[in-house]
Amino acid sequence: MNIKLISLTIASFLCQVALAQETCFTNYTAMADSMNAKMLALEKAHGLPDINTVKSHVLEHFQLDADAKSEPLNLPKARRKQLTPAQIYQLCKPSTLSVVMMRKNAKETSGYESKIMATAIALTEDGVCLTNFHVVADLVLSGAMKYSSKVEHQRYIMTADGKTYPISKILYGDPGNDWAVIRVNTLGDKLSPIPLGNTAKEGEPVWCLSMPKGYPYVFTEGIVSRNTANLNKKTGEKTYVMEITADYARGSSGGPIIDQYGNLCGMVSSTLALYGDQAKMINFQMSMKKTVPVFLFSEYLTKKD
Amino acid sequence: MASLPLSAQENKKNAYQEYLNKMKEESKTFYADADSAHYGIKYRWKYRFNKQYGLTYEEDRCVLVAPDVTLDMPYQKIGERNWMRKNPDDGATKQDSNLAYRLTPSFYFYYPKEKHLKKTYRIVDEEFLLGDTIVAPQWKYSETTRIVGDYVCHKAEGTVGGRKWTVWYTTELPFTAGPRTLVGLPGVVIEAKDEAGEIEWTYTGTIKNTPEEKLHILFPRHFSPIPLADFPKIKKVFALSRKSYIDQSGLATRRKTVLPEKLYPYTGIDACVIDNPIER
Repeated sequence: MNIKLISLTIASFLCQVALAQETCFTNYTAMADSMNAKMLALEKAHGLPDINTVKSHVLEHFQLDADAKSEPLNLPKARRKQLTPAQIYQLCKPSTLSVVMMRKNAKETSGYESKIMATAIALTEDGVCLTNFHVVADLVLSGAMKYSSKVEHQRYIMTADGKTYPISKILYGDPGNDWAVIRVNTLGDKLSPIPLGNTAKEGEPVWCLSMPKGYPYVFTEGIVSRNTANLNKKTGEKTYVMEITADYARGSSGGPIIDQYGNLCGMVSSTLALYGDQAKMINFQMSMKKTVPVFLFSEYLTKKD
Repeated sequence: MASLPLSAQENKKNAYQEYLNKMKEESKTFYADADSAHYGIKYRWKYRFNKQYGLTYEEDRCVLVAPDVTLDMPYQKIGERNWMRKNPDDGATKQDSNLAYRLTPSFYFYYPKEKHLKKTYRIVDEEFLLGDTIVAPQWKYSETTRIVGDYVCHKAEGTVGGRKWTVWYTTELPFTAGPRTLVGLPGVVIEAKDEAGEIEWTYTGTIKNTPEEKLHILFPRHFSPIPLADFPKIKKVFALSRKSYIDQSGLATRRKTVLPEKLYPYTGIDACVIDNPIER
């Protein structure tokens, strides 16, 4: 009897340990598989507009001028305590969002399919988010010209816990520095915003959390390798780039670059592959990771009268 | 004898030839009722838009000349692609923005008899009518002459659009023409500069109208229904956006047609983002 009880207790304990360890693993495939149906159900339940309707109103809300300022936002306060990488990941994962495109199903005559195309960052609980201009440029450009897509049905974000919300407005775009502020319709739910930090200097550690090639929540570490200011000879405007060594790839666009306190210090923008023979793209040597420094968007987001 | 299968390269070549033929066919229809220019004058247009950083915007433009109408438009042939082809080692990372491969899709139709200037602007394939005004500047003529290119030119001065201009025009070419608002002279403007030294048109050549390369002047048949109030914002976002953004937007291919060969430039991406550089 006692032996039976002890055996049961041990078995139960081992199960709990296994379960606890299993919770460290996320089934991203299941998440990705269900996002399309979730978004369609949400759309139906709330009568949400499709992406063409959103696009047709794009110029009504879209700001472009350097001296434009955001509507007053309830931004979270910057974190002050130095964190471990594991803590940074845990804290910042809920603020990191997948940008998903829902298109007509290519294989079937009806129905839709969704694909993670980029990353976005929650800035406020009520749905103001940050991403790259190039992630939403097609919406702005085709919307401005009143062009409706026959293929794309919805552009939405998915949170780390698998909730989906549609993009409802493009609020601001800086094509030169490649960042845009968007609004998603949270339907009253609250997002987990990341606080804005300060510009990181060369040599300071940074982390990147993003969706390279649609693989959700890949966390990488690096340092700031170079901060550069460039004069755009075409417009006379200055552009700024924070180059880092943390890895990322296509699909990471719009991903947060996080400092050691868990604050946002930049956003993924692009990569530049350097080859021995640049023109022929032979003999790959290194990849420069170009990100948008935080001061560019914090200036817009926190500007006051 | 069975014919050998075509290689992928040959297939590609044939497809491209087919595309060119289709473009020529569409071009014929598109320009069926267009005016034909007798010749064109090619200029390098320079605008010193930022004195603080010493930045100058440069672009190749041309004025096509017909008896009843002239057209100031971008000159496509020295384009970004051509520049890149000639400078392969510099790649995409070392382009000099000062070089004249920028193209602003602005078009100025001038009707000398009526003194009407109609300004249109094309973004991708959407035409905007931006203005229709009477332009008749008063010129003060001088006896001074000089040779510019192959032409004997006469000097004239006048104030247009808030700027004082010195123009050199020739009477050796038929009809009357000039870039933008520098019109109404008894000849063809070959060179022009403003007093502040901010803007100049420099003569770079004469374009001939040949059967192989006809110079069409066609006022757009349709204009965009998009309100003009939105135009400045649209122009700016297109001018600042990269070509890849426009490609992704689907705008370039939304109308299932091959663009006629003369319908260039077909995007506003290299447009000058500096507003109103001529008229102060």
